[in-house]
Amino acid sequence: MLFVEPRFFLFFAVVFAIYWVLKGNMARKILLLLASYGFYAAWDWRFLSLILISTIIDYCVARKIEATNEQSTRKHWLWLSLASNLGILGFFKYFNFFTDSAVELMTSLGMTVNYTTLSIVLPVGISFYTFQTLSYTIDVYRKNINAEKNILDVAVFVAFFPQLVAGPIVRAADFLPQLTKRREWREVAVKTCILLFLVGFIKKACVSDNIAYYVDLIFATPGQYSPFALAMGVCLYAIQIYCDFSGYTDMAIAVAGLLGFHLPKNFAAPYLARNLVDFWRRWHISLSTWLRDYLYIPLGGNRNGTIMRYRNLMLTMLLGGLWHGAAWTFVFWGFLHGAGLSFNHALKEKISSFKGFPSAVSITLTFAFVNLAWIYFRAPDFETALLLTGSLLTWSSEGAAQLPIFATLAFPFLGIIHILWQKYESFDKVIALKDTYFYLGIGIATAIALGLQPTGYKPFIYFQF
Amino acid sequence: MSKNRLTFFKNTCLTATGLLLTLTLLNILLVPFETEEDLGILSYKKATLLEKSNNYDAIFLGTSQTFRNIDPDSLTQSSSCKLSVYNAGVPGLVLEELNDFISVIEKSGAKNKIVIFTDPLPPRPDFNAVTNIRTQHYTTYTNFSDRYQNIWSLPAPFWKKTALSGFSMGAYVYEFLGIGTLSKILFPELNAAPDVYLPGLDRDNGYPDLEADIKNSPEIAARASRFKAISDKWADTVLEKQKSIKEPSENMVASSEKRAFLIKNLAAKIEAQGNIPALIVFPEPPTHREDLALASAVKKIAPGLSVINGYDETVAQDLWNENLWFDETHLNMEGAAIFSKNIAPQICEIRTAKESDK
Repeated sequence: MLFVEPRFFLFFAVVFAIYWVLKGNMARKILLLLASYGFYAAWDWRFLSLILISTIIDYCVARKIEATNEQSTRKHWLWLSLASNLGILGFFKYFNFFTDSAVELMTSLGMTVNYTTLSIVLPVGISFYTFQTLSYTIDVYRKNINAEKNILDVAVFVAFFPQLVAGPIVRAADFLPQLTKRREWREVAVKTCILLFLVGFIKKACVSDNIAYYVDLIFATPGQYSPFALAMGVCLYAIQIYCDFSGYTDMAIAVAGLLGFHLPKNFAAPYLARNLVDFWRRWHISLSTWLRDYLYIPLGGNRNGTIMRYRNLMLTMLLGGLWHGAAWTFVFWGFLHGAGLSFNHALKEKISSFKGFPSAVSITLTFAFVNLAWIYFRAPDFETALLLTGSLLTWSSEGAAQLPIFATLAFPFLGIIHILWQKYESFDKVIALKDTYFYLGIGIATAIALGLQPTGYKPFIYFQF
Repeated sequence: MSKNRLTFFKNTCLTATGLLLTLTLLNILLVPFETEEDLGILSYKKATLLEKSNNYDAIFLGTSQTFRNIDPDSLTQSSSCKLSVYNAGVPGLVLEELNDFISVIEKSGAKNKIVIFTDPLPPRPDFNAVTNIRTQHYTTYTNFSDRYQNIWSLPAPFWKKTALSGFSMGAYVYEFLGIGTLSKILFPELNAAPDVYLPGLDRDNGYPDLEADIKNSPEIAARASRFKAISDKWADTVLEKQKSIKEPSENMVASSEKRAFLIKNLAAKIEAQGNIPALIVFPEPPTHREDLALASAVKKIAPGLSVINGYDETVAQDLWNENLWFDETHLNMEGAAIFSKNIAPQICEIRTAKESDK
């Protein structure tokens, strides 16, 4: 069930109506839990058991950790949580990847290996809720938060349907307190939520899903296209993935908002970043801060000298790449970003400030680097990625085909709209409109957005992670 | 009403007004941009009929049962009157699609053809069926009455017909929303060539190749393997059931009368074109009783209409063998060859009767 499908609107209308009719907080939480499980079951009911297992384990582990002050016992319980959660994630997401890689390595060393690949289906959203639930036990272990006594609250925190399958990755410290108090309708920023949902819908359904077709063509047969078409294709992918993922996040935040919950911001105009460090402060913020707090800093962060800092950065980004997908292309994407970030930090140390650097140039350079890395994120294999990279760097290609003019124009057109939308803080200006104009406008924009939504719903890109 | 609720109501009305006005405007403005959509097998068979109807003596129109159970070559070879036959069956055929096929035959200028049709299916009560390209193509204001006639003539409980009507209304709402209309104009696909799988339809007689279908279509393969799992007990169960069904009850016949009227109207339409209508009732174990009730009701309401009854001893006697079926309601290619051979005499009789009428 996708946020852009009519059946989601029906589902949400029913949940929304019942939720606000119910008076008691407990009844509302039960409704949210049932709705969340129903929402997930619409994907694949079999994997609900994994969510339940994660919930029960982390609820119990957190309580056990809190119940003792003995550091070694606390650590043992934490390890149980880490092993079970990462064990489930590892099995479902990485088993075949590591088996295949090991077999390939052994074969290349001249060893003969007989093995069978298991047919494992990847449960949707597993990477997201695993990280979310892990942060809960780690925070309890670190004594940043108290263990939740009510298992219902933990269950809602793990399975809350607006962000269950593709984030934002919510911290228990931010979400659990919101469950203790009954949400009030008067506190809901209705106009903000409605506009945010519509903006997210337009990004996903009208932009990302329409340009996906041309991106697929470029990445399927890059050898047929001219260097200009390839460059446009890669730029269109940058737009596609941004609109797809940030569109999902906008809708998730809006849906949660309409139920009275606050979810953290996940994007802040990432393609206007002036350098790579800045980019990671703007792109998938909930993941980058998760990786910072639960991986980079525990590894030592920047506390043990420059070399260790670069090592930690690289390890964090490699694992971040692997988090996205079980393929070496994702690992290489992480490597590129790790290298880029290290270079960025090194440069910053040599040149005390970037202030003298024109922002347009630094934004363009950062965008170009991010795009180059996206090739490895999107390409089905290294061969395709290297072909694309080579064609773009040497500006040569065997093919001469061009993308149609409207697809080519889509990149500058959408880029200009994005810059203007940010520059003039248009979101806030629309919110400030009189109610009559605002709601009429929402109706009109919705009708146009429906027309622009292609038939045949495409899953969100990040659902596969 | 509290102030909050009043505001909520007012804002909802404002949004709905903006939405409805814009949708209406778009529906009007985008009419010139509408293009003929490719509906896969349905479009393929319509095009064939338009071009070649005159090449055939008998044309079968109907659902997946026609599609899978009528083997034109076997029928031609076994018919004493040497009929040339086209299988225009399409899986999931509903009333408005059947009417469309009848219109295509008329447009092709074919006369004196035997047009053998089945009882069309009701619309499918699921969300994907409501929004799919075929349903949407036929969700027009001119088809509104056909769609509801199809539902309300069913011998089914009131709640079921109400639910089906709800789904059908959903299809109209979806159509009105105009999802994808602007996208198709602004972002057309580069290679417009349809990528439609036509299972073995290269033989010019409209009959599919089941083996190719099982190989290429996961859904068909799954159905075949599901049937295989129960097939050892299937024939016994069916024969046991047969024994208990002698004649449909009067109540069942009466409840099928509305449906029989619908079939009578379809037959009248075919007759008005100068063609010879006939209804075919396929043997289908799960709906055996209902099928017989419909056949009886048609005899009562439209006594002049020829009915090829698949449950007749002469037709069905060799068929209750699990090796002749690929699922519970469709014959496999071997079964279809036998069934087609068995009905050939009845079709020749229809033709002979018509010729002697002249």
